[in-house]
Amino acid sequence: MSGFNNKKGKGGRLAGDGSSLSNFLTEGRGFLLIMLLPALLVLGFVIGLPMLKALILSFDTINFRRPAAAGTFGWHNYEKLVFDAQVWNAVWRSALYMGGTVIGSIVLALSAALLTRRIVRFRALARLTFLIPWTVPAVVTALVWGVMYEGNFGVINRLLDPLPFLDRTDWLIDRDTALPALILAQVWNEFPVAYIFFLAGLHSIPDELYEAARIDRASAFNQFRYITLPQLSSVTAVIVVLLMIMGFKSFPIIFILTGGGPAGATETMTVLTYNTAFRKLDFSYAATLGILAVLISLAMVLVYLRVMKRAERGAGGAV
Amino acid sequence: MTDPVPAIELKNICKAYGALRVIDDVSLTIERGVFITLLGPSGCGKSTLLRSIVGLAEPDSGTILVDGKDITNAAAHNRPVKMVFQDYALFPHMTVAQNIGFGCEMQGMEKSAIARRSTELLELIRLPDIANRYPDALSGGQRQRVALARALAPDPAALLLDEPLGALDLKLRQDMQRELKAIQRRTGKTFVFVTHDQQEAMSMSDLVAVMNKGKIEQLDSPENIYANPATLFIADFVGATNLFEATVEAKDGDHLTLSVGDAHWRVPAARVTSHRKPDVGEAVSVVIRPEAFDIGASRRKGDIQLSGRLTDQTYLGDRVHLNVETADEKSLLVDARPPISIGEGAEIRLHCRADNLAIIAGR
Repeated sequence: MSGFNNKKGKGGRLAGDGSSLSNFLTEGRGFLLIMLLPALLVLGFVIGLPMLKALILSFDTINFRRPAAAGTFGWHNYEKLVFDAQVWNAVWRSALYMGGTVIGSIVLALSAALLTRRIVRFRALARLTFLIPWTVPAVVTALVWGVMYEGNFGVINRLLDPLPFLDRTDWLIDRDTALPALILAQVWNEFPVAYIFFLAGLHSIPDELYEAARIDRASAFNQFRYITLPQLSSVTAVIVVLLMIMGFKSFPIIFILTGGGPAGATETMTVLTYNTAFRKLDFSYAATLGILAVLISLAMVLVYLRVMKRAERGAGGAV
Repeated sequence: MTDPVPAIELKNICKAYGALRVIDDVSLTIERGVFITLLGPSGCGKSTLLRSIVGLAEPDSGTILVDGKDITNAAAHNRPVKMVFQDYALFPHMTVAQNIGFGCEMQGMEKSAIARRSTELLELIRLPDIANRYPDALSGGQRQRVALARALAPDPAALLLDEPLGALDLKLRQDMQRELKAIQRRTGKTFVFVTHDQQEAMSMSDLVAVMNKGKIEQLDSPENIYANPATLFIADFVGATNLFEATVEAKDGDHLTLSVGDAHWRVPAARVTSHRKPDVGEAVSVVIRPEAFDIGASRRKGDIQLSGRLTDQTYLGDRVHLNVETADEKSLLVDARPPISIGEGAEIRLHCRADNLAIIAGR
């Protein structure tokens, strides 16, 4: 198209060979910009504006319990955040929650993928079974697990009753068990994401590699160690970062099951932000916490993008 | 001197997938140090036979012996044979040295011994400087050689190669054919090579087993396979062929008289290359290779004389392919040495020595 516009006749210009502005608008980047403008405007409106509003809010003092302080602008919220132990405890709990869900989801998803990779009969049914948790909304997951964890008649205590060394416990009320219980519910809900990745990764490993290893006397464990794991390393790196982001952002399961309790034992960054805004009614400080959460998420997204780039480069080659 | 115990012995191997018999009662004895090729079209069962030997496919019946030991029911990792795969099957996340040493490592060999073996094999394949490279940094030919070194590393009794040159371009393939043969000679190992490429089979092998529909139709030297095909399939599959339908008119001492169309050809009975010898009145096929023809009339007694019209010629550098159409509309393929000063459409006379053809019973 541009080539056509640039062709010049012997005696003068062809139609379309106009000013530099019209060239910019019909060719190259200018043309791309025009095409992308509607989408950019929508994105700017639904993402950019709220973020800008939150940023401004984080420097303000909007606290419904202290309405008189409104309009005081400054760094006070950020100064408070730096020395707020509750915030850094929440960051630590978010990290624990994130780590637990990542490890749990990966172990469960990889096991399920290895189990269903070579199934011939009922293959679709087996795979569907492992995908079902993903289709269940997080709110429903939280309610179901809440009933299961219930101290008196919850199914988990019933199942554990025969074990002599375990006393009945109220999983979500005990400070020691609340966070692991939430992690388990979250893992059940999100491991199918990792399962799909692993299944695709396993199918991309050529059978010949396993055959060559078998001929070379590699046991099933060594085949897993020397072929499956290294061949899945790129996929695993992507899944880890993706699950980390999902884990860090997680809110509904924690909020519905414990609301951050008992005594803040499950108060992650997202729950703390919610509680600050809608329970303490301190919107400006909540916005500051939101900015911190966005920065942490952004750092993870950057890691994710780097990992993706490496995975693309390493696809089929050395990892 | 030939070792009394063959490297590999296959006895009555059968393998079927449903109603399809992929290997149909195949028996084959492979002596030590031999380069043998299983040659055949796609789906003839050659790869399945190779995979049966290495333990990646399970025959329905029959016995497989390696070095005189029955390994029919042994697991793949317990068989003293190794395989080079069509796509090399190099581990992409391991360096060349790690790839070569993998089999030795799995056998529990010491690290220093593995390193020595890797170096030794890299020198054998004449790539001593690539030990720390990854497979994706190698050319097709280099990967092929590394795959070969990896298979040789645990010192197998025999090496099985499943169309390993298929992915290479023509020039590289020819280089690798020479290289493979040289490595086989240097190591003295038994090589069982599988290919559908007859030129590849002819150029490298001591012996060629031509397979068709799950059976070995002929096991012989490349020269004999080409010159004395035992079946019509082999005559057609190996090399270009001119086929003539004929009938045995008479047997006279060590000669046969064949009726070919309106002509009568007197040919040596020794040129019957099929296992079954035809009787008088029986239909036979006469095979004449394109290069067996000479252009022009012959004064030599007993030569087969033909004539026709030159319809097409293709210059190939070292030779010219001529297409000649006879009066009874039979199309003949003739190979001649350039230069050829005959124009297309011109009448052309051809002759062929009577002992330069092959006769196969049946059509």
